[in-house]
Amino acid sequence: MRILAILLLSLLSSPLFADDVRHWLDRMSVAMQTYNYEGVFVYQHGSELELMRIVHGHDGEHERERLFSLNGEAREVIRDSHSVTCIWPNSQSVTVSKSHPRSPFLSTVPNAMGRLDHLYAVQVKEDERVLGRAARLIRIQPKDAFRYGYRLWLDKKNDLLLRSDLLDTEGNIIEVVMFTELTLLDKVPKGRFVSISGGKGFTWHHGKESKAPLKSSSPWLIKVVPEGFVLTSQTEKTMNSNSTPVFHTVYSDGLASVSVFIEKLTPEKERFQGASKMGAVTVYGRMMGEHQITVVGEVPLQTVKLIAQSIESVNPTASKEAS
Amino acid sequence: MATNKQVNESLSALIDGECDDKERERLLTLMMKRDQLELKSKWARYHLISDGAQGDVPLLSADFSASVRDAIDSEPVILAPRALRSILTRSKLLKGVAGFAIAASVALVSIVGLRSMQTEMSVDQSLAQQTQPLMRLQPRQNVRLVAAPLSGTRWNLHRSAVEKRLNGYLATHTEHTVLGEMQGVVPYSRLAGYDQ
Repeated sequence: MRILAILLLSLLSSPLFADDVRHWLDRMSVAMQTYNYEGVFVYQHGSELELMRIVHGHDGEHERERLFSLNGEAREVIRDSHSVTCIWPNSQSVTVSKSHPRSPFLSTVPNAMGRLDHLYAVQVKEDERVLGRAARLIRIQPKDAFRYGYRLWLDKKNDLLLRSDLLDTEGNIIEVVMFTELTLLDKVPKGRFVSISGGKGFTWHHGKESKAPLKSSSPWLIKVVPEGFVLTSQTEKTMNSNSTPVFHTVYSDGLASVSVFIEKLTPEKERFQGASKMGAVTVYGRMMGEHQITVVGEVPLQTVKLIAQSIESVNPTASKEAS
Repeated sequence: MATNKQVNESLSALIDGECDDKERERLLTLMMKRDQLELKSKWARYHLISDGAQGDVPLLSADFSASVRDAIDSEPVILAPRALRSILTRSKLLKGVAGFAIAASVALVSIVGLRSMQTEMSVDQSLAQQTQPLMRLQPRQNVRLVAAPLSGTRWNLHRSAVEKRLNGYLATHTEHTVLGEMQGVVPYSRLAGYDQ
């Protein structure tokens, strides 16, 4: 009897993803996407620290967001339901790409919850405090070395994300995003979404995406992905008007995402082979004949490497394996 | 010179939005002087206390933000050095831009605020170095908020063509992240957080 009670208790004290955490994560995304707010946050990755301001609005139908850095180059990201515009004052360039429809619910990732329980251990702590405010901490720890862990602090009053940490497999912090100022607003004046630099005189790059997803006709075979990652999107697009089409495939385990980009490089274009890292994002590149394969994701290096190295051409005669 | 107690009281009034215009002007001017670091960190501490005390929606009280905004809107010259002031009076066109620069310098208050928190949180020290150049209001540069340059391109590959390509990939990837849907800000800060 006593053993049974202990067993029951231990079951109760390790909440399942599908219950608690899913609930809180859904509430967080609804808050982050649908509330009107303006705030300043610190973004720390590696030894770098940035200060950024965000303006976020939702008019009941559409979401609008403007993010700009307060230190260094006055970079800006403006996002609405149609496009994502990135402005880079130093290189005087503007990139415009299509925005991907967002859904506030985690459960839209197919069967995400069923898988997440196998992949991550979770814990909810109620009595946390961030910037003097009562916060709920959600810890998400990976069960293998192919993904990172998360610590999310949500405001207990309004479910907004006050702080987010990304942790490597040993539990070391990779990046931190923390609000230092956050104000909920009734309405965001339109002017708040207008860019500082405006991109006048800058070079504009417009990306295009093919309308039909490429599910069946991909000439590439991605043979290995770590457990839990499933295909969520496959498209062909151009990154800017002059470049060749790029095959873009996305895999997700319900939390982490990995993108595979494959494009044909003309001889004058520089190749990228090997690994690089930028904060939480790792990339791994390799060449397959004339094709550049690049795998990008906020996952450990071994994950992008594993995926990149498993890629083969469906028609091997078309592109010979290089090096 | 006001006593510490008086300063503390005025600061606390300023944060709660209870200051009259003259007092607000005096305090904001004081804070813009570089030798008033102590006052600035006090300001930051008061903020934290005030935020905690109110415990409600805004982390910085709405009254406070509004009073800073009012101060900027009505009297931009308070915070501007002479050079900027003359530009302002010469050209109305520039007013909006310069107003932003001033707003940016007010944003510094939060940077300085961070700085005092930093010791407790032992966040990266580079913030302290970045704070100083931002303190100087130089009209031209400040329009763009240029501070001390960060360590350059983040991929650290030293091959700009490749880095540009990776940046494009990252932007596309970010649009597809699950966490982007959930967390809003986080993945986009990666995007805005890298140099091109």
